[in-house]
Amino acid sequence: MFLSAFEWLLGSPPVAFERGQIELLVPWGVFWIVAAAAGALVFALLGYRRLGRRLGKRGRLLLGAARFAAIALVLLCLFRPQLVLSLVVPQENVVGVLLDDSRSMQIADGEDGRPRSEALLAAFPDEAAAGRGEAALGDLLREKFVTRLFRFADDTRRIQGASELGFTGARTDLLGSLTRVADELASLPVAGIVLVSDGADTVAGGREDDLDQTLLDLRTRGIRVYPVAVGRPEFEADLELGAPDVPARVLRGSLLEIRLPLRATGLAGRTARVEALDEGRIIATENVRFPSDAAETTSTLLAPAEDAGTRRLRFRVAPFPGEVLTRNNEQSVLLEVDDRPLRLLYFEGQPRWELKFLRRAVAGDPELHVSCLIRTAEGKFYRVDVADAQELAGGFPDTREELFAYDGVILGSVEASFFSQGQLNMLRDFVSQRGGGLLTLGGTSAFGEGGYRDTPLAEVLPLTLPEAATSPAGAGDGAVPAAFRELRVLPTRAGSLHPVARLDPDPLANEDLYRSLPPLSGVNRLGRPKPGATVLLEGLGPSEEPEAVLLIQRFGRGRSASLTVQDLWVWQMDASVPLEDETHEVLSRRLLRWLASEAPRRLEVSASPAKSLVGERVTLRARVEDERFLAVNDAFVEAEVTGPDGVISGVPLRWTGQGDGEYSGVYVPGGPGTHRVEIRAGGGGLREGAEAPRAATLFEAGVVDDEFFDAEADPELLARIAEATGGRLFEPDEAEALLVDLSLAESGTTVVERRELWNVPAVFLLLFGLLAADWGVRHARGLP
Amino acid sequence: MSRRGILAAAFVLVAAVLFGGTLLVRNELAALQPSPRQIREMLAEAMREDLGGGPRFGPPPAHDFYFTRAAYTSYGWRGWSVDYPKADLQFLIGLRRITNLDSYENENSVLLTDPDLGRYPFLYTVEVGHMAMTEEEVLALRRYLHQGGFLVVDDFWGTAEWVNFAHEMGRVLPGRPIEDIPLDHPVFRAFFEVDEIVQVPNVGQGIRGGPTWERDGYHPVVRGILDDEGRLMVLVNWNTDLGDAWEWAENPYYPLHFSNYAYAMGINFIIYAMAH
Repeated sequence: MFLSAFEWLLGSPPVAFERGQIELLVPWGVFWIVAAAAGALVFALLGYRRLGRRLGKRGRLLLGAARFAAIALVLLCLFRPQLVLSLVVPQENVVGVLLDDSRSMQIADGEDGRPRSEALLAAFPDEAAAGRGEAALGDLLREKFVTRLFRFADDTRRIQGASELGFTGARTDLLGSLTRVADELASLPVAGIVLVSDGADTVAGGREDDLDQTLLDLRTRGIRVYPVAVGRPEFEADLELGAPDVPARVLRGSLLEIRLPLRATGLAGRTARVEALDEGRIIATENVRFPSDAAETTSTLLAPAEDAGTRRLRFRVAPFPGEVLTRNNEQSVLLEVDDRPLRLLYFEGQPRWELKFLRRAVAGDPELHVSCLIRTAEGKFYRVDVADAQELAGGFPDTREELFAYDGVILGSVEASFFSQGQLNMLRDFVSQRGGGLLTLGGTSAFGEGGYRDTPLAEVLPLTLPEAATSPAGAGDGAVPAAFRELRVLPTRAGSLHPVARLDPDPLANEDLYRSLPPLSGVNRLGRPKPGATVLLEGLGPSEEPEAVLLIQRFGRGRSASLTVQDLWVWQMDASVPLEDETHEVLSRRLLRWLASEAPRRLEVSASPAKSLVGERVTLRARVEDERFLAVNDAFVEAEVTGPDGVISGVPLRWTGQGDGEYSGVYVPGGPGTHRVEIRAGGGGLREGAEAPRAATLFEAGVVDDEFFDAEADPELLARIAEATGGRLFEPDEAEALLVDLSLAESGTTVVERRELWNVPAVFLLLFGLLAADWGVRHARGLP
Repeated sequence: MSRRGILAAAFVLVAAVLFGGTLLVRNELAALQPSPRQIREMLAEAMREDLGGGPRFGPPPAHDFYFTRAAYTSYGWRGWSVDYPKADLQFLIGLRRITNLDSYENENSVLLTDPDLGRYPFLYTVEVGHMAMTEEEVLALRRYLHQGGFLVVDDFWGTAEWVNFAHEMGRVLPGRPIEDIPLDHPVFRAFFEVDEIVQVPNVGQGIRGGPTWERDGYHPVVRGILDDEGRLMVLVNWNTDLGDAWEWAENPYYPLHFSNYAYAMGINFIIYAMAH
């Protein structure tokens, strides 16, 4: 409305005034113009001088100004103002038309449930349909320009007509497509690029630098982009499952923690039942309620990983009524369930029941192997569950090779002075560099009482050790250690959500379960949890403040946990605990699995992207370390990729030169399906004769469904592209306006057009208005 | 009444008196054996006398280890408290000196029915040839052993006592056989290397230097009851008396090699029990 009124009044649309220049076509110089204006002013003021008394000062000024404006306007018209425009020459300029061919164009969020693609096809009808009804954008463009049509999705291709579009592209690469089309049209006179898309880019996401660089490049080349936005920026009702956060590898029998982001639009107060499925079998569910119409939340699912091998986990939520897009109610992820046992070393400075009952707790777990070393007297050790006669024969390991062969270490009640400085440093490195897990247990010779305060291990612990706690714990009054206290152990909020301490999915039932267990006891004086630590269990004792009983934290590459009580075994032996109660077993196993399951191996492998297109480059990366977990740069590393058809291809991996021990290679999947990558490393710094490390990972080709996630139209991105390149964002029904914009291009083959401005209706109306005002005032005051 | 008749009547009378008297004496003797409640009260009383009122029965489980004697119901005058507490205290001196175990230094006896039984996962008991557990004791011991408790049995001799013990164990763990423990079992090298089973005599026979056996228990045997995973739950020392060898270890007339052996066995049992 405004635009058409503007155009009627001034004879040209606003964009013409933006792009064009206004010039005066006068034969005289500036001096005469100024002189004429001054004369007009004098005339205007003198004309009312005689009437001064009757008008008053204000009236005189008002009438004088109106008359001056009218004379000035007439003078201006006499100077012949003109709008000088640069217009493209018809049929001599090229317009690149980029049509979005991705799957997100299938989303039916238009009026009456029409898909986005329909708006595109209406704008670019086939030749046969041309000429019917309102002029389509494609026809208008063809009338004035030479058009070059391109389809784009994950790649860009020239097409003859929109009928070639199938809307099956698995990705949308807006920036890449714009760059390629700009390159292709580089030698031609380009009036601009028309980009018909929903703007739901699935490639550039997060690559702000790339976006800015590409747009700057287009601007430098003088190519304006005119996006035509289709689709809705927000669905009325939609639930979207984000990418599940699942470790790539998990130990068989472990409780798998899955974090699934949920984004709900227009579903305030509704509840979604999230289901996790393994080969069609439901393994976990959770009900999530959405507090608002734009809710982003995370569902935490705990599911048992029961069967070894490659598993495809699926997650789904039943569609809500009115949901436009239901494809984003499902997610899937590949998971490798590993049955290689974790190796842990449990060292006790003295015989303790804790060791016996921990051994019994993990005895039923085939994935945990705990080698035990007990100092039974000074210089005398008792070994249990060792693999062979050599293991731990010399007592606690004193070489990195020996210690780093374990995935986790449990330290019981053993004083720090037992270890050499080298062993203490090695234990710290075991966690920070090797990435192993360290569990420290409470006891008379543990923590501060064991003299760990000023040792390298104090860094690793998830809690601080108070200065006072340096006297032996046994130095209390009589038979009872000074700091002895009973603690009723309860889960914290974090503990109720953590796979180690969450024994029941219902937080209240979980707390009741802990509440039903007998109290445990502590003998150590402890400091505060470190800032990065998470307290999973806390104990209520004689002091008012609850104290941390089970704490965990990351340290460097590994994990650290402290169980500050000295007698977890009471949960197994106490008469109040039912015989069939498994709390002690479950908690012990989960804790040890958590501790050691993420310990990296000497050979780690990954494939990215984990979900690729057929024919897309998949980068295989490996990290190779020797037995001391030091990176090796000169190894021979080869990947064997087994396709879904069973065909095996060898891919050599080479040292990247960018990081120690890092190797990479490229594989291009030839068909859809799950691909298994096995990597072997040998030679170089890896010791000869030792078992060559092996590792495996998986990736999936041809199942990319990114287009249905974050699938709302993104006019903001399109507007940003337009603004940065000098173009403008249009709706599909603004075809004519788009054409005007394109016609006023400064690039391409253009011709100069001069449009007179003195004869536009606005000048006439303004002059008429000024004179009418002058006459009206005088008539009202009875003046001549 | 003929003379024969008088003699017969007198005989019957004497027999009746003798039989009744025996019964009476036996009942009297049985009455001497205290009930579990009496044991507890007696111990509490003794404790108050010894320690001026401090709690000794059921100390807080602040130490890693308590040498705990299981108190059970038995018939006859022999029972759980034979050699108690001197044998226990003597053994503890050796245990604390030889190993680095954080052990409570005093004796500790506990009723099988005590709610705190589970706090002491190691139990020592003797004279099981006269064991006659109540149903509550049977249930409590069964539960204790299934939860992971460890029972060492000592000082009972001969076939008759074995039969009684086997019967009682059959009540606690029905269907579980009592098996011979071979010398290559890890329990014999948990701390000391033990490569033969020695018959340890009681103090009288040990000092006199006579035969080492009692009744028909000529050969010492170590047997055990295993759980489903093959771990020892009950360790049985039959036809031997380790307790006396601890109790009289300081007696210069009691042969040293018996005491040495008994200490080695006792320490092995504890280290094994605390690791398996």
